[in-house]
Amino acid sequence: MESEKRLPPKWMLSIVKMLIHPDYREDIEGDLLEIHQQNVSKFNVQKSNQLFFREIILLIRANLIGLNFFNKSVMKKKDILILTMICLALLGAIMLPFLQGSFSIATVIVSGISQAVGFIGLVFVPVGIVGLAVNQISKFKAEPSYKSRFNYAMALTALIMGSLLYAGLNTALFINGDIKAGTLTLLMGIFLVYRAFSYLQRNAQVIPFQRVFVYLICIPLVAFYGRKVLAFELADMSRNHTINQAAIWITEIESYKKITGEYPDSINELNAELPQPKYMGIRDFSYQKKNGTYNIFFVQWVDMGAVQEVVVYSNTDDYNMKGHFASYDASQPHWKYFWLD
Amino acid sequence: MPDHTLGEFEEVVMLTVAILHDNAYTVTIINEMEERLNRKASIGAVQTVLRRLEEKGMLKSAFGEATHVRGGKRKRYFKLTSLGSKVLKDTKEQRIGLWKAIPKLSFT
Repeated sequence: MESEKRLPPKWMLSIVKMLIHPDYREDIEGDLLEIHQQNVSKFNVQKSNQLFFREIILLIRANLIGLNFFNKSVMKKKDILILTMICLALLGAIMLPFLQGSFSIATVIVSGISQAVGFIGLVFVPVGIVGLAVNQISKFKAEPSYKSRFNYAMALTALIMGSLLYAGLNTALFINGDIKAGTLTLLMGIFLVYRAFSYLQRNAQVIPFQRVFVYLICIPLVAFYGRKVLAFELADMSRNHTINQAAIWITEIESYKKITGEYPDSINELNAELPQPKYMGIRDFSYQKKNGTYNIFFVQWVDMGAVQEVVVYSNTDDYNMKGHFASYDASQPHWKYFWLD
Repeated sequence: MPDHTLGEFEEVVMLTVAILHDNAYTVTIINEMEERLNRKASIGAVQTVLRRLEEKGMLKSAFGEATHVRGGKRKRYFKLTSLGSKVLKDTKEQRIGLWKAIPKLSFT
């Protein structure tokens, strides 16, 4: 129908309903529709829809959106900015060894520490969830008309889920044989639960919002993503690119053998300008001749800087590697990589 | 130092609300600003400022009528409060005072 074509797409209206604070939703929706109708009269429907979508994006402001998490009364703009800067800095630090530049062990160390935040920090995620949930429940108990029973139910669910998650992580530490860490986190958990329920027992007491709970949730999760997804993807990319660079070495070595009848004892005999790896987390290529054949290899660090990845080329697939706990075929033939602690 | 200071965009929005008097809601404010100042503003930008000024007590709002064009959603009309009027007048006097203080030679 003609009149329906003049309305913005339903999925865009759904975004508005999801995004905007319930107190402001009615008049903002009405404003959007009225401006959309003005635009349809001025331009065509397609452009009007584009402008409508632009207006929705520009509505994403802390004091207009309805997610309590980012409500201006609990998270100030400054807090959101600080949190974003910390997360971006963490991801940047994780990416450092995989950026192009001269080798620097400092980049590996910084990346390793940042990735460790996404491992050790996970235990604080349920603490943050519980903290936020206690805050919401205390508000509901002090002002029963506060928001709605839905928020209270969500907060209670978050409290239970957070506690179970914490218990699960704690159990995993014990199962892993890490008794000291397990005991420490268990004692910390008991203390936090005691404090949480003490707060909830007091009458008409609203716990002031602590933005630290938001930080405790977001920062470890971002670092975890950086470690488990970003770092591994970047390691694949830097490995494959470096393997491609080594092709020139292989060509020169094989040419040398054609001329002299055997492989060089050292790479200096080649008299050629050979490229070195271009990534800050990868040292120079190494060449090793043995038993009528040879290996080329390079090293990079993965997984919190604690696992050494040795990437080896052997034209006879004789890698002769020891002490590794895993090995994988690389993207190119005759290349393999080994992980060592 | 005055108790309340206005940012530039806040001042423009408040003046536009004053101009529109009984007909000041987001859409008319945006249209008026575009017509008078050739200045485009998004709904988000104007709504943010309107909410902030309301929180500060310089504006008050109330729901008006719903229309078919708005999908049956009501308009929210904004009006200056006495505090808002006073802040606007004080801001105007400050601006006039600054202009008067400029030596004649500055613009030659």
